[in-house]
Amino acid sequence: MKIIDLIVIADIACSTSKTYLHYLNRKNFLVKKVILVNFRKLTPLEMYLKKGLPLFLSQRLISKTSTDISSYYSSTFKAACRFFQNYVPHPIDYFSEFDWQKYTAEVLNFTAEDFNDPFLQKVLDNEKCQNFLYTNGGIVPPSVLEKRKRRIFHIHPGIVPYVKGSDGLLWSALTRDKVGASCFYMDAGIDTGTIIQTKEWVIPHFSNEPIEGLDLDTLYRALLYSFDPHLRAELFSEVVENFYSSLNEIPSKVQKPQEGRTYYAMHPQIKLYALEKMGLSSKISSLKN
Amino acid sequence: MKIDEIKKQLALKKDTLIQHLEPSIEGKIDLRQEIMSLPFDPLQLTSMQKVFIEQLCKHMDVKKQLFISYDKNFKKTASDEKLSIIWTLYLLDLISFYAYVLHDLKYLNTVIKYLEINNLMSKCIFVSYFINALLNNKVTSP
Repeated sequence: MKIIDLIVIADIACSTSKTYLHYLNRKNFLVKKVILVNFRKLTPLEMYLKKGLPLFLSQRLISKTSTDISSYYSSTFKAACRFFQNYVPHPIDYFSEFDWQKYTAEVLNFTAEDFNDPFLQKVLDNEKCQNFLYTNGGIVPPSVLEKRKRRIFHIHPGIVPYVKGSDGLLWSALTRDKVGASCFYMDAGIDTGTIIQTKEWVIPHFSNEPIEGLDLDTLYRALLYSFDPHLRAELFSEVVENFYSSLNEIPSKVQKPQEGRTYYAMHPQIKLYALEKMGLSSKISSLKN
Repeated sequence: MKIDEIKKQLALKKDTLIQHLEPSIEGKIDLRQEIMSLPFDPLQLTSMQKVFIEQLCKHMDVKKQLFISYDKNFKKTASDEKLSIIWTLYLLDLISFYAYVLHDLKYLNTVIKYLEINNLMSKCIFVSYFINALLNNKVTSP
């Protein structure tokens, strides 16, 4: 196993973080550290502690939630996620306890509201290694992005600049007849960072055996939770494989501002049309009658 | 529905609206003037007009409302007055027509969402026809 000069900012509830680590592990890579954040709204008491006490002391008093997230999701959602694991190179059981320690030399676990959280920012600033992998957690403010020598990798579901913005997986299927992913350095724009590597795959065609009680929204969320991260993780593990000894100086290509298009959240009617392209609409119970 | 018939109906609407057009204010983008300048045929859109429509889509998708005037970069509103329903419906009919001709599902997505949010779906003349043609006849986007 090789330890790479990378810190993963993982969201405790997010499947993407786990998938990246799993794919890196399959290629015999461990990351230097996982900053495991429980992104959630703080209680009034926790807010009070945060304002009144020094950062590192208040953080000790704010609870870290258990990593067991299996009870958050419905059995239908879990069944759909398990179904999608039949179509990925390295399946993951997302609903069992995830052993973060297996994938890294060190895990640091704490709670933060979002990337504006001063404790999270302090933790990032204090790291000697300034190569981070963004996996989730919402908008990253300029105070985090604009640090000298800091590089934040992001893998977006879609080929930039052609498919920027929301619902990249589905928009790629509709507009390019392929699904894709792009690895770039995050900047202040929406998917406008300098491009490191991109990859496209043929649109997957899933089997049409039904899942009882499955509705459009659950199917869509399951696809994004348990299939989409595998494409992104496959690309990122290839990037690391190509550049693991020089993560500080990976060549990248600047995007032209007027190139490509930015897409927005997809309306359910168009989502259904995109899912049809993947052979998925027949899995939805409500469409059967 | 024939394309010529759609263009004819759009032209009738445009004629009505043009009579109520007020002079634009210098240094600002007057949304009504910009809408009037858009051709019926999307293949005649200039590159500037295409950029303008992309920005319009952003305002509709993200801000979820349109105002009558904006700053010269089309980023911030320059008026508190919202674009009236009659102008909004003309614009949405026009963009959904572009979506239909170009098989552009991004335009269609913006139109459907904006109509739903503003409870206008039943008032837009063509959109149901275009949704049906683009999504149910399995037309693929270029």
